[in-house]
Amino acid sequence: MSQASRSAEPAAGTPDLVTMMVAISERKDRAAFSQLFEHFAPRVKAYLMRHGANNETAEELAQETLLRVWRKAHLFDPAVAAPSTWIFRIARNLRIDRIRRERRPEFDPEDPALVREADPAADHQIQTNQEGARVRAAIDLLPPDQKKAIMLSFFEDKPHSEIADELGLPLGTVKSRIRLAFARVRQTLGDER
Amino acid sequence: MNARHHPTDDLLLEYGAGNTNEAQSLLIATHLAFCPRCRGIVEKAETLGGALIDATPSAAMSADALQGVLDRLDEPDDAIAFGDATSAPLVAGTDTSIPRPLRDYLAHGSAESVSWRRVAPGIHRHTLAMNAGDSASSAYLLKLAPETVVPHHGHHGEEMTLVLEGGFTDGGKHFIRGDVELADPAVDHQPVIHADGPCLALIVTDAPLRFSGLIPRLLQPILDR
Ligand SMILES: [Zn+2]
Repeated sequence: MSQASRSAEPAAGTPDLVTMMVAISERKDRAAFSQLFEHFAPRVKAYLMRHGANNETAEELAQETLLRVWRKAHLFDPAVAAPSTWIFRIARNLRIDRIRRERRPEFDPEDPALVREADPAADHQIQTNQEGARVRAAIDLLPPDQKKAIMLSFFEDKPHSEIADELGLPLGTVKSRIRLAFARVRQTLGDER
Repeated sequence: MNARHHPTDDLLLEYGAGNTNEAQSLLIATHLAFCPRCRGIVEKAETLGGALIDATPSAAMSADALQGVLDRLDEPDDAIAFGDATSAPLVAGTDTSIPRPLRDYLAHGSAESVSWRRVAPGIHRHTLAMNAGDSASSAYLLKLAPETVVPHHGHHGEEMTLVLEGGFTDGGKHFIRGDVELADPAVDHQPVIHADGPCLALIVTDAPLRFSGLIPRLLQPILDR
């Protein structure tokens, strides 16, 4: 497990989202929740609008996302996932449920059938305190065409073939840009595979 | 033992981004229950998703949005969405060798209690009902007797097979519990079920199978049904 590159600090003035989440999780801290809301609700709303929700629906689902964050806060573990990762999952699942109207099958971490990693630490290799900042830094360093391709794959509800049409590029080119961008991010997160 | 054959990294990223359809997601999520390696990759995709949301230009919320949510914080939590991974109590007869979420698609949580239809000698099929009726892909279980040779077939689209029990050999490779075989649209393949027991597999297709040869062509309408 490579942990050597774990040095990036959050930019000065960046609210400490982990501290907020922990305050919500441990003490049901409403002031911390308000701060978290101010930070994430407009971003989640933008995410949902990129996926085709109109202003009203996006507003409503962004509120719903943050409400779920509050209700599930007791499940938040800063050693397992960054707040942004956690909120992304909730927003993504709500989008699939309410905008796409599909089910989102997921594995159950408590499932007796779950095959666990032989080395339990490896199941959660990501130390999360500053991973958000490190991944953002890695995204900023991507070549613009890779950055655009990876943005589109997360922010447009479209298959790669349609993204390729939109960019006027061969499908293979789009796929390889997305692949390169993701490889770079995985490297940042200490993936040696 | 951990799985040795995995979905592509591309597909794991798409699943993490939330772009796979229900049938694909079902197969991937079931594989994830078997595979810490792929769980790690999906987790990284989700971390990327979180960072992208964090970095994206925001859309202004209405002035009273925060107050509206603060007023609702003490409301009882009514809805538990599908996929929330809340551990429901296991009903009697549940077969815990089949991981969630696949188990949730089976009546009584067991492959034994669903209705099987014989589609060929040694081959039984059970189609899984997807919630999204208009989905371009379909998912079904196959139960295959030991040493069954599945007819030669090619594909119009993508096909993925996840082994749940037993195993098969195809193109010199062995696939056992937890493994995913990705069919190459360009290549005919002919899986042979291992002799040591029946094989249970989850199959997800983008498009109907295309069999070559006369007998398989007679099979085609049955398998497509
Ligand atoms: Zn895997």
